[in-house]
Amino acid sequence: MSLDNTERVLMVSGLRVAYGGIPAVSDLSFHVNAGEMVGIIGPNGAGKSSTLLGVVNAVRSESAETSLRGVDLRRMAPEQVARAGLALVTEGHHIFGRLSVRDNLRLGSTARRDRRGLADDLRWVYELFPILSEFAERPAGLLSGGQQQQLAIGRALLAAPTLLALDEPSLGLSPTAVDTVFAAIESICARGTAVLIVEQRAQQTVATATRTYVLTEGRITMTLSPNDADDSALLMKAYLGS
Amino acid sequence: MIPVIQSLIDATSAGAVYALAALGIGLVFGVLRLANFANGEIITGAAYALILVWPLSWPLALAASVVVAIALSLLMDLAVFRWMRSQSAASLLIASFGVSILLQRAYEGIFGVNVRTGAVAPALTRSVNVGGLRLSMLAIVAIILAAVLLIAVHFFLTKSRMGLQVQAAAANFREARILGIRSGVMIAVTLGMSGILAAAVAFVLTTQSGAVNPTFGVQATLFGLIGAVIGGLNRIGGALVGGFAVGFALSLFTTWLPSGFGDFRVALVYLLVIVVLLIAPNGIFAGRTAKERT
Repeated sequence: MSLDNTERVLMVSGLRVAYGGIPAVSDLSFHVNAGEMVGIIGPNGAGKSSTLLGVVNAVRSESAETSLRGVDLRRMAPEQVARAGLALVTEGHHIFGRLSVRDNLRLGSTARRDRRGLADDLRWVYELFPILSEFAERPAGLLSGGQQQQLAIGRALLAAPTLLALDEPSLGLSPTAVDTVFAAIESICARGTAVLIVEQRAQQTVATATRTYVLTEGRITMTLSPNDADDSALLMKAYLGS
Repeated sequence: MIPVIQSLIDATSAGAVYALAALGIGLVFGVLRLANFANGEIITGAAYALILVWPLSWPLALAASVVVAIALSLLMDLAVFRWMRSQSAASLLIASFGVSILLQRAYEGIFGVNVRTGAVAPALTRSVNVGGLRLSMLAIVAIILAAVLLIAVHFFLTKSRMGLQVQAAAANFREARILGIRSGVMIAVTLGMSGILAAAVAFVLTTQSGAVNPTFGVQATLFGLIGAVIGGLNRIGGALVGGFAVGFALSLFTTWLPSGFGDFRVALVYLLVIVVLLIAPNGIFAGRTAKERT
């Protein structure tokens, strides 16, 4: 399958999310093309998590368009969005602590019916995160924070998503664990899954992503390319506003 | 010694029945955040089916009780609780009181205020002699029935694909949906299981009493709910153990309290509950996992 780089995987236009009348995201538009890793960075409270939760309809949202490969997601329940091919790893990697690592992974493949493809993907996930194979029978709650994040990403991948969305995967992880996660994201992207990553870790995100949107107070204020990663003055400005 | 063993077996059987009631309540609370007081009226509905249909045909009566219980469980969700999914657990509990009272009035209207009597499984009301012990058949059947159902529920939850999804939905409903787990299916499956458990409770209680009235299921549900709370509503296994403990204690108090004090047995159970909740406010088994929830 050839990847046409102009093919839109995710298209979001005019997204609004509000909690009890207080806007968290206002009039947000962005897109992710096939083969791309797209970043969204911004300070705490900029609306990053709300954007992702709004796209998958886990919180109430409205938009002019939210579509995945042309399929309208707007009226779907969260589980339908997942089944349509958008896998979200939520902030704080909510794994099921009392279930084993293997059972957590099984839950990722709820909608899959292709046994062969699933077996291949499981092998790949174990290659990507060998620790999951080693600790397969352990209760997931006993894993370290970094290992739980790997489990959450692995679980999302087993749904064979068109787009993998990650909400602050580096949050609370050690520097080595962050490197593991970022390296994995690059391999995931290289294998053909488009990635949307929301981060506070600006430099690393901008350097890795095809394109990075800067989100401030619920709006996109800047779009950065990998070349901007070393321009610390620009990143600072992106965060603090002009 | 022999009376002690007999009373322990009776207590185990009472514990088993309340464990079933508590398990049904705990399962539903886990997935729907609904502490369903109207579970009592599900038990009552199944009990009417048993008492009224048994004279016609016992297999039909058993089937009818299960069908009625599952149908009531699903219908009350369809009519009331599904419209309140985003409401707090407290609102849901209050709504379930409303459903409970409404159904009690409905039963009065349909079957009358008075007690309806009928022999359900009369063969089980005999006692058997085992090595000098006079054991009630029903106590033994209740223990076996509870054990079989508990093992079945356990295997379903831990070994089957769908059971695993129910567990995930109980641990974190939103996260489960984000993973693509169908919320509607999980809710229906959970309500169905609670219906089956309610029918089992109704079977034991109607066999014991041979009678049903509009408030028949209230007591079992109250004690089941208390059991689930002291065991920890957040943990399915906790609810089970809590329910068992309440039934066991109630039965022992009945046997062992000096005559004249029997009326205080329920008060003593409540006293125990207060002590437990003072020591472990989230229930005995909930501590470790309470913060896992969002």
